[in-house]
Parts: sequence; C-alpha cells; structure tokens
Amino acid sequence: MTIRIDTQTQNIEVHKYYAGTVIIVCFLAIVFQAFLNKFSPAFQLFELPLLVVIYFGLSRRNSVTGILLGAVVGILQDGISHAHIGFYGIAKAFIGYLASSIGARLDTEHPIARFILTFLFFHVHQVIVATTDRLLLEQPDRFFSVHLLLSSIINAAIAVFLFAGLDRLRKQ
Amino acid sequence: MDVTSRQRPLVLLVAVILAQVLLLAFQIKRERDVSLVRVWSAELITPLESAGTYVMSKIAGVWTGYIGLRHTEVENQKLSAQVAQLKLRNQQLEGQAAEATRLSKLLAFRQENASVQMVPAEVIGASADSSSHTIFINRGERDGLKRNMAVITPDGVVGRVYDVLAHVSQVLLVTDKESGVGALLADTRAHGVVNGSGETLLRMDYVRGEEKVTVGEKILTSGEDRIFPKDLLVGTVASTKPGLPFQTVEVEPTAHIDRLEEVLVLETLQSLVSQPVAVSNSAAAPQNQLAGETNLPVNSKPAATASSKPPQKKPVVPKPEISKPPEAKSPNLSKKPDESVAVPDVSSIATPTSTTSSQASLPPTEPPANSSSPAGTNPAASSPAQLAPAQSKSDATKPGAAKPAAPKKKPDTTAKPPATKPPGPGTNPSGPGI
Repeated sequence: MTIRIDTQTQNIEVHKYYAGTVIIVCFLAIVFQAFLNKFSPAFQLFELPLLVVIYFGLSRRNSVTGILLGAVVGILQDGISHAHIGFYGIAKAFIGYLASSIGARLDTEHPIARFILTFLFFHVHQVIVATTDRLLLEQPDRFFSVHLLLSSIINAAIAVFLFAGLDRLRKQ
Repeated sequence: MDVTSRQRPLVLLVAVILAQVLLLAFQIKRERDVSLVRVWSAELITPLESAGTYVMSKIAGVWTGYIGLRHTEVENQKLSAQVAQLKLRNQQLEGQAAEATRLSKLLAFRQENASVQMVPAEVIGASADSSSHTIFINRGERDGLKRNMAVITPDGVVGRVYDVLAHVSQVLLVTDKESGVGALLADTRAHGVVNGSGETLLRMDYVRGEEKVTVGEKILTSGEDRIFPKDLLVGTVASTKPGLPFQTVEVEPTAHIDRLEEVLVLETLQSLVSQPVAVSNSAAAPQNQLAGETNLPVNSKPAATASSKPPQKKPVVPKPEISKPPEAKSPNLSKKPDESVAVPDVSSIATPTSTTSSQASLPPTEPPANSSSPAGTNPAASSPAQLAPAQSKSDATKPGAAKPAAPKKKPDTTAKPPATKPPGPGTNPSGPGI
C-alpha cells in the first residue's frame, strides 16, 4: 500500500509491508549469505544483508526504522561471524539512516537510481567499516580496494533485480 | 514537521551507534588484556584526577610552605645539630674502620709468620726535635723487649729498638742519621749499607760503581747486621748517582715511616715467610737460620749493647741455646705478650753490630771513619750487640766499653776484620762476635 504524504516541497511515497515481511526477509538474507559463503569464496562478494537494509531504508523512508533495522541486521551478521558484536551494526545502522533519509527526498524506484545508490552505499559502508576498524580495533583496513569496486558493481546489479522482486511484497 | 521531529532520527542514530560502540568496547581488548571500555574510562577520568591532585598539592604547598613554617626553624636547628653529631660519629667510625684494616693486615702478617716470635706494639709518641728520627712504642722490658730488636711492619723495615724502659721503648727509625741497615740489592745481590740521612730518603753506601743499579729495584736486608732478619724489604731504589769507587744510591723506604701507628718487634732473627719480595726462607730452626743467614760461624756470644763500643771490646758470650719459637700471638697492642709462651733464650738471638762480619761482605776499601756502622749503629764492630740485660750491663762495665750512647751520638766504628784482632778472653776464637 502506498501512502502519499504531501509536503510543501514534494510528494513522498511511504511503502508498507505485510506483518513480519521485513523481519523474515532480513533473516533470510543473513541465512543465504552464510549459506552461499560455504560453497565458494566468490560468494563473499555478495552482501545480501546490506542490500536488504538499503532496500527497506529507501522504501520505508523512515529514519527510525532504518536505523533500527540496520543495527539489528548488523548485529545479527556479527553474531554469526568472527567480528566483534556491533562491528557491522554501526555501519548498517548508519546506512539504514542514510538510505531512509535519501529515500525521503529522491525517487528511488528507477533501476538506474537504485543501481547508483546501491553502488554508493556500498562504498559508504566500507568507509564506515574501515573507520571503525582503525579507531577501535587499530587495524589498517583500506577505505577503497578493487575487491570493493567489484563487489559494489555486482551487488548494485543484483539490487536492481532483488529490489524489483521485493517490491512485490508491498501491501497494495 | 517540527524541528524535534526532524532531529529525532538523528538522535536515534547517534544513540544506536553509541550503543554498538559501547558493545564493541566491552569486547575489544587492548594491551595486557584490558578491555577497551576500561581504557576509555581510565583515559577519561585520570586526567581529571591528575588535575585535582595538582590543585590539591598546590593548596597543600601553600599551607606547608607558608602557614606551616612556624616550626621549621626549630626543626632545622635540631636537624643541623643531628647532622653534626652524625658527621663526628662517621669520622670516628671511619677511623675505627681504618684501624681495623691496619690491624687485620698486621694480624694476617703475624699469622703467616706464626713461627717467628714478634711483639706487636703501638706507636705512642715521637721525638721532640726534628733532627732525630725516633718513636716511642708501648712495649718495654716487661714485654720482653731488648735493645737492638728489629722493628718492622708488613710493608718493610722501620728501625730498631734503641732504648728499653719498663713499659715503653724508643725505636730508632731507619731514616735517622745514626741508623744503618745491612742490605743488598734484590736483583744483583750486591751488598751495601743503608743509612739514614735525616730525611725521608735513605742512602745506600758501599755499592760498587760498576754495579748495575736500576731505579725501582728492591733493597732487602742482608742479615749481616744481626739485627734484621734476612730478606726483609727495606725500600726501593729512588735514584742513583754514579761514582767511583762507590756509587750513591738513594732509597725510598717501603714502610710508611711518616704514619706509623702499629709496628711489630721481632724477638728473633728468624726469617719471615711472608715478605713481599723476599727470597723464600724456610722456617728452619733458629739455630740453622742463624747459621745459614750470614754464612758466618755461629757466634755463641750474646748481643752486646749497641752504641759506642769500641770494636776490640768483645763480651764473653756463651753458646746460644736454641729454643723452640713460641706460638704466634694475637695483635693485642694493649696487653703484654703471652708470658706462658717461652721466650727464646737471649743467646739464641743473633747479635747485631757485627761490623766485622758485615765488613766481610763489604768491598775491600775501608769505609770512612765515623760513618755509621752497617749494623745500624753502633759500635762494637766486632762485638755482637747484647740483648740480655745482664750482658748489657757487663758490657757497660768493661773497661773502655762505651756506655749506651744517646741517640744523637754516633758510634765509633772501626772496620777491621776480625782476623786481625786478638781474641779477647772468653771470646769465640773462630771470629768476631756475631
């Protein structure tokens, strides 16, 4: 179901989803990510939890839910990895906030917009992760790498199709 | 939307991020397994504590530096007095420590020469004038001392006993003009006589001009004067002046003549085993030692009195009885020697002043008149010095015998070989009294 909010500046569409949809989708994203990594290291290029956080942030356009969703997804992701709890939670919480803020101002339904935004969010995510790594863990993590570039392009491409599929879960 | 509504997501973002950062801080460990949250807490709080401590110390400093200074002056005076007392006490302790060091050295020397009978003594005084070099020691006749007993320290020869009183004795130092010691060079074994010159340096006479004497060469006693045992360290060559027929050799005494505090008085002529440069002397029986030291026939005559005896006057000396040397004595300067220890018979002590015997080892040229005898003073060139009181008295009663002279009086030494003199009554026909 789409709700139009008329503001003085623009019309913003806030999409709603069926009960439990957000939670289940986020949970499945984490499970698939862990499942795929088992088969091949190449699947480590995928970042499904981050894609989910970006999608719901852009769609819901609610900063509070974006922050909380990103934090929860990040903490869950830390829980099944070797990283300290909260490591990815910080980055995804910020991405959730950023995505919801941008989604409230821009039209993010077009595939090209989604591709570009996803590409950019991936880099922002890496900057936050590297900053956290350097400040708290004192590890010399890189802000940019070829792996990141490749990963962001692949995930941006996946996002175009994944977001189109998740659009079907919206309440009509 | 109002401002509060717009800021709410930002506040929530900050809160969520802070919460996760805090969560990380509990998990991450820094050096020495300290969690990050503790590190942050300490880094956050300790500067405040340091600042607070600094401020409090300044406040306390104002109190103690100004308000609390009322009693400082009194305390300062008390502490100054205490410091002065401690300094004085420290000086006393340093003196005692130095004395202990000297006494331990003396004890070690005595223990190494336990078979040699010696009496430790403390220097209690010196001569009143600068022309004579004598000291007084706190041992006398009652301690078993006799005239012409050798006085040494572990460093070297000091002098000989000149006058013996009941409880004290006067010692003629080797630096005195009337002192003489039969000596030889350690390397070349050339014999000579070390005489005092009234100054710190000694003079070794009768060293042939062609003898090679090197500066620093050690000079030992030859034992020919029958006062000092053989191979005692006298000094080292300080300088030489060539000359004919004799060269002049200046000797620096090894014993610290100018700062004597404790000395040892040898009651026998038995050689010491622990001499710095001495040729090793076996601890032979005294009779063998006496016979072997000077290569001269054993003189059975007792020692005559020291100074100013005419050489031709020889006392009758019975055959020496060799007695077993007593046990070593502890260096207790305040006590008399152990009276239970057998004191060797006087006759066993070699007689000094055998100028004839010493002259036998001297170059053929007759030494100049009025020179001090190599026997370390005096007289009776051919007559042995007598250490026994009875015999000294007999010497004094002999006609023409010079009475024990004052320290300044030079002995009359005539350097005539014993063979030329007719033996006196009771004298040893084999030679001069040695």
